[in-house]
Amino acid sequence: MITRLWAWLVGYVVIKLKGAQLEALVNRIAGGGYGIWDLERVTANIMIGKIRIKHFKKLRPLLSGLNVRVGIVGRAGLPFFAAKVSRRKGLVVGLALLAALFYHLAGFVWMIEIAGGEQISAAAISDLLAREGVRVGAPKSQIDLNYLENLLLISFPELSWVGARIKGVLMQIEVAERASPHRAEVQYGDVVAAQNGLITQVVPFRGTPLVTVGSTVKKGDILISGEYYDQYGRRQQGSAEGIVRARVWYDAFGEAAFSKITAIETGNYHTSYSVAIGKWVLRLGRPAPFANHASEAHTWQPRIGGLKLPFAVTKHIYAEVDYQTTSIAVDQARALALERAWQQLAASGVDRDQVKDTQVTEHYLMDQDGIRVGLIVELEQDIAEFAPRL
Amino acid sequence: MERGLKKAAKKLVSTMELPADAILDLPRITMIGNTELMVENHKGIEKYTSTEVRIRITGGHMAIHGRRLIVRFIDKDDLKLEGVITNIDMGDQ
Repeated sequence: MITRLWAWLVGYVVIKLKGAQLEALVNRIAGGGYGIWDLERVTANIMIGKIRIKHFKKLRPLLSGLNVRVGIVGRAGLPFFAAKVSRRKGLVVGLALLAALFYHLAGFVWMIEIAGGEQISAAAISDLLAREGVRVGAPKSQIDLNYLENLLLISFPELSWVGARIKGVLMQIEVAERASPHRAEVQYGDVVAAQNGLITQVVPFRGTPLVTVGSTVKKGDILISGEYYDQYGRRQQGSAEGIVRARVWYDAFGEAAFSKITAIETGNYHTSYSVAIGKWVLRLGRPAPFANHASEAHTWQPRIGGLKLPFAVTKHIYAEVDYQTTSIAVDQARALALERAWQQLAASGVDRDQVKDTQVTEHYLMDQDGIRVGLIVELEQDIAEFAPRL
Repeated sequence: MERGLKKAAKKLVSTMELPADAILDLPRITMIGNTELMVENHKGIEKYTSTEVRIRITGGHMAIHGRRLIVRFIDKDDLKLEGVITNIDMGDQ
């Protein structure tokens, strides 16, 4: 690779060797310390290869005594390119002007990317930047990134960090918002029970606990009050915080029948076709001659390139089916009903692994030929929920 | 006399575990897959066609057979051959 690059930089010629003793000449050239590359045998008496300009000029003495002629069929490399370009001054001037124009345009911001804001929209940040003269087309030399970062932090108190940088013609503004505003410090409120339960643990962080272990609470009862007395004995109203764990119960039920109906194919099939042209549909053949059937359709619509033609042929296959009732064992139905009850609990957010105790009841549904399974589960969880006092 | 010298050199190379290519002027041949062959310390080309390349080496020659054979590079010491190499024969003088 480096050799090729060097050959291009110093220039090389594509030569044609013609004669009877080509191998002898190649050996003389190589033996003289001149490299040849991409040497190809074209016909029995012609070879084409590449050699550096400097070496080509030294070939003449090597030809003596050999019945071989050497000619140039091509020139390549920087010296030839430079000579060619120097003859076309307009092109050189144009390229120089283009390079100068690119250099000049690279001194401006052509794209502004704003990322990371959720509460604060990119448009709001963009407006502020525009008021400071930072917009698409602004010269980079007039943009003070530190000033912009500080300005954004001061203008939007919700921001905790701002990073501004310029990469080429792209300006990137990255912002990070505060994880949570000061709700806990400023809002007055209590911790209340999110649901009914029997208290097993009370850990107050702030506020006055109103329940103890063993208390029974209902949904909405105050567990930790936002009113408390500070270390100087002054009555304070703040935001109550803490963990209150309780044993809670959830119930659900599931049902399952003792029989099920399944469709079994009899092996009789009927096929018909329909042709659609635009919205107009023509059915060909008889309709399905079966009382009960299942059907499937396969449509063929021709395309030209990516365009669908407004013409389609559909093959309809009807399979005759027989509905049969099969009975399900009581144990199987019971397990199915229980699983459905568990699924109902899972849908309401109960984690099966956290369940400490379960209680199962069963009722047979005489009229519907099935079973209903009731499921009550007990688990321990944090029922603390902040409720602001308005 | 020359034969005796060669014999002694061979003996020296094998006893002292010296590099044979440097002492005995032997070629170093490197092959990559069946598409590239590099011969260092060659003594010239005897025959070159797109299906056969015969290279002179110390003590004989080597004939490379294949398809679309092309001399990618040749100078005083090195020769690089590319193409689909199917067979290599080593022959005495």
